[in-house]
This record gives sequence, C-alpha cells and structure tokens, in this order.
Amino acid sequence: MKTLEDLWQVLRKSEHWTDEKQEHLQNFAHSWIKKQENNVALRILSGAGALLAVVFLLGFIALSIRGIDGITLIVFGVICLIASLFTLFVAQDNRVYDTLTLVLNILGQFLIAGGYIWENQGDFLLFLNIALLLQVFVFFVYPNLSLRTMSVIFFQLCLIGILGDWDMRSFIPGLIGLISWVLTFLVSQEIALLKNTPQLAPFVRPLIYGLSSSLLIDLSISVNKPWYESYVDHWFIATLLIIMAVIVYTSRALLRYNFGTQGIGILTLFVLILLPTWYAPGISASFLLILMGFLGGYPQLLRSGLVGLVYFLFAFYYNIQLSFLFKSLLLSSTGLILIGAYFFIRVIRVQIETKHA
Amino acid sequence: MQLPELLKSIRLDRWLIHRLISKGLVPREATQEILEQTSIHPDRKTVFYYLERFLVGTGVLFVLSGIIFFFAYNWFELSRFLKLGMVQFASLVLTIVLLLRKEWTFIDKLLLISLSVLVGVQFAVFGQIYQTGANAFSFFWFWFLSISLWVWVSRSPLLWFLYQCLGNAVLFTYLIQYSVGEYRPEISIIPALVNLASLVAWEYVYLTHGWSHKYRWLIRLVALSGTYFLWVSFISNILDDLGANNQIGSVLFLMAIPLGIWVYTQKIRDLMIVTLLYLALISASVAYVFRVLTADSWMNAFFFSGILSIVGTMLAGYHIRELYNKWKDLN
Repeated sequence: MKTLEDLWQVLRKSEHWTDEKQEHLQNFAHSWIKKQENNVALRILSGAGALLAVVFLLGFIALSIRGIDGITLIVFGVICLIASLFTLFVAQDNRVYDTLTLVLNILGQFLIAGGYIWENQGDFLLFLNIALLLQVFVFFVYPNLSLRTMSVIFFQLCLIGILGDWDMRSFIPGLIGLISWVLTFLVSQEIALLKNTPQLAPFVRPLIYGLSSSLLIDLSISVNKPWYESYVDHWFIATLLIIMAVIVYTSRALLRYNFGTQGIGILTLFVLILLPTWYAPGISASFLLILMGFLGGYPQLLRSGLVGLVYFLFAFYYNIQLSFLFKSLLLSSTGLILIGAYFFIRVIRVQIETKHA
Repeated sequence: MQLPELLKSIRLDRWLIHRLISKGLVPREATQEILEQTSIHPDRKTVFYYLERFLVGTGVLFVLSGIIFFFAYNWFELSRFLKLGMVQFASLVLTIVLLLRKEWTFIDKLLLISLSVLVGVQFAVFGQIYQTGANAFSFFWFWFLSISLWVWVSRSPLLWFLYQCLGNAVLFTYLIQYSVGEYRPEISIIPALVNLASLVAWEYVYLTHGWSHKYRWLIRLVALSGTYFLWVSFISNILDDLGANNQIGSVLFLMAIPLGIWVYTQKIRDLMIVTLLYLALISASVAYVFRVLTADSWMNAFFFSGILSIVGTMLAGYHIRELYNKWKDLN
C-alpha cells in the first residue's frame, strides 16, 4: 500500500463506505495536495526568515519602548496575536505566509507578557507564568505545525525557568526525564490514542516534534560542567529516567515483533550500552530518539537523534571533568559492548530467519 | 482530475493516516493494520537492518575515540615503541581484514573510514615523538595525500565527506601559515572558490553517473560550505569595513548566488539548495540595509531590517512554492 488510491480501493469494498464519505475523501484529498506544497524547504525558509525578523523587530521594540505604558504594549500584543490568527486563516494552507504569522505571534506574546510586567512592576517569574499560559493558548487555538511545535518547546522552557526561579533546580533533570516519558507514551501508544481519541490526532505530530526537540535543547545545557555544577545537580536522575523510557519503549516494540526470550537479551544489551552514559544524559536521550526512529518508523526522530549523538559525544567528553584514562576506558568499553551487541544481534537474526524459513 | 488519479498522486504517510482517522474516513480499528501494510511501522527485517548498522557504526566511533583519549592520557608514560606500535598494529589489523574480505559492504566501508582516521592519528603521534618541526598544514596535507587513493576507490560518501573536510583544513592552514600569516575574513574567498569548483565536479559526477538521490546530502553539504565561505566574505566586508581588499569577495557573492539560483532552478532541480541560496541572499541584504541605516538611526535600522527579512522570505517562499508545483508536474 503506497498511495491513497491503494487505501481507497480497500476502503470502498467495506459495507460502511458511503457516497457521502466518498465526497468527503475527495475534498480532503484536494486540501491535502495543497498542504503538500508546504514542503520541508519552505518550512525551513519560513522558520529562518521569521527568526531573523524577530531578532530585528525585538531590537526595534526595545529601542522604541521608552515612554509607552504597559497597557498600550498589551493592546499591541493582542493585535499582533489576532493578526497572526487572521493571516493563518486567510492564507489557509499556504505556508508562504508562515513567516508573517510566526513573527506576529512571537512579537504578540512578548508584548503581552512584557507589557503586563511593565504595568505591574512584576518580575521575571511573572513574565514566565504569563508566557506559560500563552503557550497553552497558542497550542490549542492556532492550527499550524510550526507554531504548535514552538509552543511545546517554549512551554517546557518556561517550566525550567520557573523551577530555576523557585530555587528548585534539582528538579530540572527530573523534568527532562518526564519529557522523555511523555514522548515514549505518545510514540508507543500511537495506535491506542488514535483508536480512543481520534479527535486529538492533529496535536500528536507537534507534540512529538516539540518534545523530541526539547529533550535535545534542554540537555545541551547539561554538557557545560562549570555551569551545571553550580546551578543544577543530580543529572543522573535524567539518565535514569531516560534509560527506563528506553526499556519500556524497546520492550513494547520487541513484543510487537514477537522476539520472545531473545528480546530479553536485546533489552539487557541496551541497558549495558546506556549504563556508561550515567554522567551524560544527552547521549542516552539521543539513543532513545534513534530507537524510536527505526523501531517506530519516525525518520525525523532518527535524524535528530543521530545529530544529537554526534554533538553530545563531542561535548560531553570534552567538558566532563574526568581523567583522560577514565574517559578512554568509558569510550572503549562502550564501543566494545556496541560491537559485541552487533554480533549478538546478527546471531539472533540468523536464528529467527532459520526458524521462519 | 478524476478521483483515482487524484488519490494516486498522494503518497501515504503517518500524518496523513492520522488525519484520515481523525476525519472518520478510515475506521479506527484498522489503524494497526494500515500502519503495518504501508510499512510505516517497519517490519522485522528493516528493524534488524538499521539496528545492526547503528550498533557497529557507533561501536567503531566509540572505540576510535577511546584510542585517541588513551594517547592523550598516557602520553609521557608510554614508550616510543608502544606509542607507534599500537596505532600501527591497529592499522595493520584493519588492512589485513579489509584485504581478506571478498565483498564490498557497509562494514568494509566503515573499516576503511576507521583506517583513514588512524592514518591521521599515526601522523600526529609520529610528529609528537620526533618533533619533526611539521606544522598543522603539513599534518593535514600528508594525511590528505595518504588517504586519497582509498577515497577514490571507496565509493563511500562518508569517506568523501571526511576528505572534503580535510581538504578545507589543508587550504585554511596553508593560507593562514604561509600565504597571509594570520586569519583574516577575506581569505574565505579561496576556500569558497575551491568548494564551489568541487560542487560543480560533484554535480557533474552525479548527473553523468546516475547516482542515487540518497547521496544528495553530500552535494548539499558541499554547497553549504561554499555558500558559507562566500557569505562570510561578503558579511565581513559590510560589517567590518574591510575596504578594497575584500571587494572581490562581495562581487563574487553577488555574482555566484543569483547564478546558483538560476542553475538550481533551470538546470538542476534541488529545492534545498535554492532555499540555502535564498537564505544567504536575504541575510546578506538585511545586513547591508542594517549597516547603511545605522549611520542615520538605529531604530530605523532595526525596523526596516525586520520588515525586509519578512518581505524577502515571503517572496522567496512564493518562488519555492511555484517551483515545487512546476516540478511536481514534470515528475
């Protein structure tokens, strides 16, 4: 089954297939073709252009803010948010206008949160709380993949900021571990979610993209040893929770492929591979994304996991304050386990192939 | 367009199936079956294929890094014999294994990449032990030369990527150490020209040898490095007032980017490279406008640069969308 036509040929044979559904499918197909025009290249261009524009326009706002009261800023912010919603609906499925939508939306959020604290002489914590609420609003109201993904990333960044402001920095690794758990839940429970709550389907994609990006973004702070030593500790909690997520996700995937007792061997190997990453949660998070990529069929997660793995390998072993001997032993032993795992997996594959032949 | 033709033009993917289920066009109970039949959920064979490649690839990467860290740790305590012997022994083992293998598979390519990296380690170790007086340029240059033959016969894009990186390192170290004497932004012109020439060669090979589309990532990376060096040359000229020394870089940038857009829209169809060139053009124009306007008013500079970014991106986006629709029909 490669195209929608193949699927339609199967569906139309069902007794539940009606003329009304046929018409519905035709309309849907037309709108989907329109959506296909919003290819990856266009999304990258819009995102990068929006980022550039936001930087300059925020600079303009910072220079022109003098003498303007908070209420005016909030009003301008609301106008920007309404305008971004307007461009989204006027442009419908045309992502050429994404740059404008993204810029208006981000500026609107800044102006509202900034205007509120300006008016009430509030602090950064208040700014974060308002930004947090705005992310929820954007996620549910704006039917746009880029905006929804961005709101997921900003939401958890605001949570980290709030934890930092409350002097609860030790909870940050726990929060990162929790993100890996939510992501694992979404990816492994895909079928159950679609069966029980099909109306939530449009939110799944931005959630998966947003949470996977968040994992890598958040853990990039954990590689800077001097910083995290003074502000955040107990990074191993993040590693522990991520390893648990790997175990849960892999065991579910192995059950799906009926690996039987050999699955226990594979699972043990994965845990062995991840144990040396105790001080390096970024590596275990990248490993989780790579696993999800090829076991669940998510090429985007696979690519980001591979990029993350290369980055975290360099960053951790450059920054971690361990002796060269320890680093060397850690790397070599992990490498040998990985190569051993390769031979072990080959044996299992041959066994399974002979069993099914 | 008739319904079957319309539906035939739509490829099934995970997010499309999600939408069909949420709209009630596909029964929810059939979710698992559809995901399996469309190979969105990979079968066991595919899982093994990726798992094996991932394990052996990362395993080799970890072991190589471990060896390099071991040298860094134990440098003064190891004898000369042991230092050179260890790397040479590892290289010898890899060479023998490669010679004994009869097929040219992923594993062999991986072994050859490891061997090419070990050659660099050997040069570094030799230079450190005997204090040969060799500098960074000599190191990269001899490494580059030594692996040339392997790269040419390997047919491995990853090894070609390493070769391209080494080539850039050779060029930069030569320019910094021998030609100019220090790093200056204007020296980016030379690597830019070399990378663009390399891009032309790659495109020629790609088109004449009918390469698979999956190797386009290598060509895109070469295009990225060429564009980046040209962009650095142009931006540094605008922001740092380098004067007449770097005018040639700006002229090259202004000629090469539109030419590139023309080539990749009229002769070779690659939306990602067109996007990259547009981004370079937009950011360079914005930098120019910002620089000119700051002489008058910073507020105006920020405002108009922001507006130009939006307008430029939207116009480029419009062109990219047009190209997509045009090429979709041609395909």
